[in-house]
Amino acid sequence: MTPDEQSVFKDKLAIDQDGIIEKGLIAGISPRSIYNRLKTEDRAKLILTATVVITVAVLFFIILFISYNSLDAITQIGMWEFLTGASWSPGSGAYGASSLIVGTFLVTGGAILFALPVGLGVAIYINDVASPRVKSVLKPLCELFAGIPSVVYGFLGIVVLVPLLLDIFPNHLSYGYSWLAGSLVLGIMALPTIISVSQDSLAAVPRSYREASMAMGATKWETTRKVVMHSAVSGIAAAAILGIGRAIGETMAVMMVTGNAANFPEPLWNIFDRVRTLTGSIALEMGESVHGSLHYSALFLLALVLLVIVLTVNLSARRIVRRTKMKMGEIAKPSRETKIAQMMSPITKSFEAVSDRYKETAVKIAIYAFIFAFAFMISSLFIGTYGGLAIGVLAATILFISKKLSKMLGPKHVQKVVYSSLGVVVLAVVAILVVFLAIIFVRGMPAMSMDFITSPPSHSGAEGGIWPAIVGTLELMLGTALIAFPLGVCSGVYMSQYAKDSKFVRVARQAIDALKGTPSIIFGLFGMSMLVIMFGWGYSLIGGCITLALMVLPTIIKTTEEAVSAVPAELSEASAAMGASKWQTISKVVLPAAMGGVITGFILSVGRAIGETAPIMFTAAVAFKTTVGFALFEPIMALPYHLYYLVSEVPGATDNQYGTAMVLMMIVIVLFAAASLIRRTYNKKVGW
Amino acid sequence: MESKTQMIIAVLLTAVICIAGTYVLINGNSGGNNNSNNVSIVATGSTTVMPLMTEFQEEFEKHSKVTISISGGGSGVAAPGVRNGSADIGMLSRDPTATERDLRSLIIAKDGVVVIVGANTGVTNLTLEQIAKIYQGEYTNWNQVGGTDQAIRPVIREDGSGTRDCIDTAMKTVAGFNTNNYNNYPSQSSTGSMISSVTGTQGSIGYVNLGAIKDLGSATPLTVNGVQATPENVINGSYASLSRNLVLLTGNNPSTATQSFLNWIMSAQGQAIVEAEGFVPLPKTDRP
Repeated sequence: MTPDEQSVFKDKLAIDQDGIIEKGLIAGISPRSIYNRLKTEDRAKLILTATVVITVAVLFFIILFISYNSLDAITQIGMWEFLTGASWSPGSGAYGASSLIVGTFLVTGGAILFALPVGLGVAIYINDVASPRVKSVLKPLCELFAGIPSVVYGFLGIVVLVPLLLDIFPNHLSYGYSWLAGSLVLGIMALPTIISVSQDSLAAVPRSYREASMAMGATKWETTRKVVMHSAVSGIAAAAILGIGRAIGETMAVMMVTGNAANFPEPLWNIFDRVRTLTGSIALEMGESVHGSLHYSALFLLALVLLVIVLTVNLSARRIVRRTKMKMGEIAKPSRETKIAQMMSPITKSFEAVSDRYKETAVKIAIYAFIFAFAFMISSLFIGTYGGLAIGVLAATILFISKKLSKMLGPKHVQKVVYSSLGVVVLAVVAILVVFLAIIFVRGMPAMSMDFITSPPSHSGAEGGIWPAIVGTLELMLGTALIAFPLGVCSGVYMSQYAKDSKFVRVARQAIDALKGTPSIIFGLFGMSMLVIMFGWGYSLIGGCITLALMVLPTIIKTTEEAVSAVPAELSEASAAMGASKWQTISKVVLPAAMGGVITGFILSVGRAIGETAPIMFTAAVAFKTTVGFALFEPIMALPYHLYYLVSEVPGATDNQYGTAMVLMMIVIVLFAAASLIRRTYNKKVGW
Repeated sequence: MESKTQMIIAVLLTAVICIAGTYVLINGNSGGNNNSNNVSIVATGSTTVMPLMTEFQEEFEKHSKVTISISGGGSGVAAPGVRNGSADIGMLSRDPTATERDLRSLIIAKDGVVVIVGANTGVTNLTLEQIAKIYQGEYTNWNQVGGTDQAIRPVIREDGSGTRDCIDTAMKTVAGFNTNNYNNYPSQSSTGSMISSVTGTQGSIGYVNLGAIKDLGSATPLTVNGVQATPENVINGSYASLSRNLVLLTGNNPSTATQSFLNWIMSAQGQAIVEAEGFVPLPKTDRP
């Protein structure tokens, strides 16, 4: 070793012992020279850590910006008045958000009421009945379902669902736009989340449980119902809650079909009445409100309320999953309980003791009460209170009789009935998707021509093409990818390879989960208040890219983390045994092996991002711009926003509306096809 | 296996970089020019003026190198947009308010608000008072105003809309008019969705601007106090209660591009587009 090398070696030791920053401070060395002295190992770790810090900072800044902008509203209106006031009418100075909050929960509740049973049914079908071949078709279909952009759902809601509902309930539905329409659209949108999460939790139930039950002579369905569902109940609950979380934050589709009347339905369960949601109000009025006004601030306060609701919902989902995992012994119980938990423990324990004893009866009563109430509410809308009561009793009786009947039938027949009706449900769901796509493609075809693709819109978009919007969407996609890919993948690698159970990592995990559940319109408001207004960029391509990149970042981190963690430990152990350092192992062995999964997840996220309207409508997209160019600080046209514009502003332009929707769907489908192709070739190649 | 994955990644990355590179090379020049000469104009504001603006844009871009981007939002965002520099032109579908007088304003056309009804109303004319009483919830059935036995279903525009502002102002001249019932009505965020809502709903009533009359579909325009909403009646003042000005706001020192665009709008060529779009061009005497 030359003296020179020796000193470097000593320096390195010193760094390892004293800590990087401390040493740098004492010696008065610039950060750059510290960085230069680091080993590749430490450099890699430093960069990876930095990306995670950025992610955490994003959440912090989102909360900061939303709260800061809502300060005016909190001080001038008052939190209590804001939350409880019944009238929302900014023009006359009334800022009572209670009808909007209630509206949000009503639409979401209605959606889950129909999406949870259907989604669970599909999940059970996939898990129990479907052959591997059917499964391999259903899963990608489900992903595609999730990939249909919100604005396309809203468009279909307006052109298909609303007229259909008006035909079915001509006497009850005065406008077509209604709570019912909103819940149906939202329910369909929440289905993929519910299906995939509950299917995962059904599949995660240990085989031995099933085998034990089947060995006792139970049928497959009995096993599923009494054993599998029982132990997967937390996962299913989490699926429901995540579905709710997604539905609460949904903007475009809801805004387009609910009618947006800021009132309470009369009576409260009148699904034919019009409602307005938090997200709908923000999207509807943000464009109209003057920056810095009380109205503007009040809309940010709405966003803050929305954020709090969504975070609470997602947090409770995580808690439920954790608790059950603890119960099942999958993860260790925390060694010390928090103070609050200690104080609460006598209460929770006694509650648990009581609830265990009466659980069955309570659940039974609850089911009957629910069926009765539901039947009453719906039918009373049609035939009055007394008729409703009668129908409610009838429904409860039917449930009772069908239970008795199923006992008489015997388990074999019951299973047949259940599985075939589940099959019908699956068919119906697939049919909805196929009909959706068919409508768009059949009605979009007449618009397709070289001219439509390559020329700018004219006459407010009623004529001409969509070239600037296609280019804008592709530019957005490229920019989003360039920003999100390095950040997301680096963070993902850090979270799976370097993260220990330290405080920083716990905070980072929470932040990533919180960001993942944050509604897209909140990202839009964040981008608007920071990039458009504070930085003074105005509407710009770069603003849209950054906003979308931040939105997809947590998803990319999660999928990367999963893909990297799925690489068998033997591979990295073998590499380490050959004397490779940690970073060498990661960069040369683990990451290449995980790349298929990483890229698949990445493409899916970007596919979802480019269909989003809410984040770009306040940051990047304008209604008209006939020229095309790659100017970072100029506004752009984008397909989802153009579709929204055509639907809401140019009612006569049916051909162009369908044409735009079709091109948007084609881009999404191409991305999804690419993703599943990569996954397939990859799965074949990797043999574990 | 490793090398193949690396190949895929390498190919993907190179492809992305190549596409981006060529793109910047091809379009970068024009983009650069745009910034240095500032020949890019952004217009924001009223959704009523927006369709008219897109027609201006299309025609104007044919014989100039100016790029014009147009976004909606509503009359309310016009002035703030111009003030904070995110827009060069603000579009208003009403006269500027006292707080907007610090900006330069230019009346480019006149417009009327047309009251429209859906199917099965049996009504072709309403007085302003009847309209006001419908919107405040006093009349709930078309037979109360001489129509068929059919529930009245009012549709409104969102808070901040210039069109809504115009008709509300007119209705407020009717004694005792209030908007207490507005929260029961569906609120549409644009002219287009207003039309789809009225045509799709039996017995509904709503309002749009004069320029939208050609897109009404199955909705019927009403006469108000016996006067039809036409450009002529807006000019001669017989439809005065429901007419208004379309105004463009600019900063006090608009760029040359902006100024030449405004001049062109006020020229005979620009005003011909106003007429073709169903709005009311300014009488020659009022043009600068």
